[in-house]
Amino acid sequence: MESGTQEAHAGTVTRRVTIDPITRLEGHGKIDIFLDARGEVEKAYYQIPELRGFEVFSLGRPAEEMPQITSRICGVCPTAHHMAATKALDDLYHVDPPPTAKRIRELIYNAFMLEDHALHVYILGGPDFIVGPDAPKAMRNVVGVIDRVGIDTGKKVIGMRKRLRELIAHLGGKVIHPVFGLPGGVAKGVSPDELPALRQLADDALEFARFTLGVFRTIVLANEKYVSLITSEDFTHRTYSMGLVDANNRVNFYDGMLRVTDPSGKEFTKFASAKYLDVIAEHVEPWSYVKFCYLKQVGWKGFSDGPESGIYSVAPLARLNASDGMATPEAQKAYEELVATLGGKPVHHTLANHWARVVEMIQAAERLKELANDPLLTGKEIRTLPTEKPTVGVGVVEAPRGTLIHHYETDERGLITKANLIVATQNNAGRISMSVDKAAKGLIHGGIVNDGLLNKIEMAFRAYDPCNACSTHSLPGQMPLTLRLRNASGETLRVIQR
Amino acid sequence: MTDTPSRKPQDLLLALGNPLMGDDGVALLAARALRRRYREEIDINESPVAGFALLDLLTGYNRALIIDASATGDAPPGTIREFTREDFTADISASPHYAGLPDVLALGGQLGVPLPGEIRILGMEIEAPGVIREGLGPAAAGSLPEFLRRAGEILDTWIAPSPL
Repeated sequence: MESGTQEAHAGTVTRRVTIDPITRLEGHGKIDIFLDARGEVEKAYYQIPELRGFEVFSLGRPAEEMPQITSRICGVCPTAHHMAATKALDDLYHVDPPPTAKRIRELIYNAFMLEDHALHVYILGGPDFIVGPDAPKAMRNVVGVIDRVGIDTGKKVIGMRKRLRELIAHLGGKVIHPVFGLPGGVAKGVSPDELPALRQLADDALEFARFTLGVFRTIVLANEKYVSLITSEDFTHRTYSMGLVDANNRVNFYDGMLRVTDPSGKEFTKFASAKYLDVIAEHVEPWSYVKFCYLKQVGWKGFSDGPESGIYSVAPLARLNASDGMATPEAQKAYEELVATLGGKPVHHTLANHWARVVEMIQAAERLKELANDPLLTGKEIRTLPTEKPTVGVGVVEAPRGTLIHHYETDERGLITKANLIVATQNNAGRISMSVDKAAKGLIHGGIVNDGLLNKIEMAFRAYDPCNACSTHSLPGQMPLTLRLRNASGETLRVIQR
Repeated sequence: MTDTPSRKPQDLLLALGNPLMGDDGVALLAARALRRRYREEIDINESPVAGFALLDLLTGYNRALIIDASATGDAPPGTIREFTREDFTADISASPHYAGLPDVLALGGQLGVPLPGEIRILGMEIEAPGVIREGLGPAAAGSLPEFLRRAGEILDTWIAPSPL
């Protein structure tokens, strides 16, 4: 094990530094940083692995299986895939679920968003902001986070997460592979007997979300160094933003229209999800098999920001930028505080995603509470049976990491003839690459690459909470950070593992 | 705690994998075969989950055997290796996405969650991770009997000898 500063030798060839931090657990993303002869960064790339084989696997299968199949793709956010697929089936079979079914779906979905966001805020993003980028490596992990926030808070996080997962499992059939979503509705209703426990959980969830905002204020916002890091130019891109909004242009995780705002914050376009191919196009770079999404009407202008570049962002901060605000009162207040503190809307500071995530936790909890107290939640009518022939279906939800699009086409028997997924991280791929490139250029000079700098470069992509393909689990279960110095012919000059 | 008529097994076989991703599901197939032999004495759980959900699955057991696919790239596909808990706790680090076993164990330990005192981990190196397809590749299929044998060997040591 080796750490510390690595100085590149002066030479005439371009060096390539590879950060390969992502084990199978998280997929196989990696960062390549090319240094020129003076040790300055020429270009840095973040390569996001793409899920392969999905379309081939899907062809000829009954469309009704897609909510189950796609929820099995990912061991991290099965609920998001299940919900997007279910909504695509509504569209495919031209059915509108009854109001009760919509409420049950939204209830489950908000519980999922809250649980997933909480985990990121405390555990995954925690090392960056709760512990801090300059903390010793041994503390930049979950142990360091708990040391800082306290064991009681740690227990609170784990306890709330468990209760929310139990709710998803109870209402959704299973937490891992939810089975509740059917074209036109849900498989199971909510009984009035279940309401007292549900309302209690919603109250506790809101209290927990408020508590989290307090933790964020105390630890992050009270620290001027963090706030100046958030607002620093190294972590800022003025791109377009995309997210689902309700009829009042407020953030919605489950349904609505997709809205895009330009880098100055003005609405650029707003469209029904079925029209996504009119708005989004994909660009392929020769160095990567990843498709970079961009706005068709603006065009691909390379990895650059500003109104002339079609690169856009999704995920919590983009959702806030793409909307006129939050749909619930306390979340709206938290949103206003964020916007005022960070210099007005739109907010283009990538690291503000962590804060936006906390704001969204409050909305998810408030919405949970609203739904738990909605008389329509316990209605008996939970499904509209499909009667028309299936054709084309597109379903969109806001996954924790951003806009998730499922698109299926079938023959008249309902067998899949075409399937396309655009996952959140694909939408974000262009901007994530720009963030890594900018951070690397701002931080690495004269060939000096050390742990602190690598931490900050990692922070540039961790704020997006990228999903690095949909591999599921655990071995080796660590994050070896491998940095390779290579010459232009690909020979490894030195390897640092930490 | 109240007494229940049938005692819940204190030992767990936890198989991790994705059933849609070819070799990735090798441990799930293994668990199905092992279930027939051990279901009376050992809880057998097949799961596709990642990250902190492992905490829920491991809580409350005395001993756990985790079987999983590995994609370290430093051994040929089909290679079976045993890891210990110590192999994973030596260097926990900040994950860019979801937490791994070391983080889960560290967090559980820190918060006083009752995790198994003994955790053994058996992994089979696989090929082509991340590709959605059905069935195992030849290397994983060829090593499956040995995977079952190695897992069975561990589980046998946990089962008290049956009375005559």
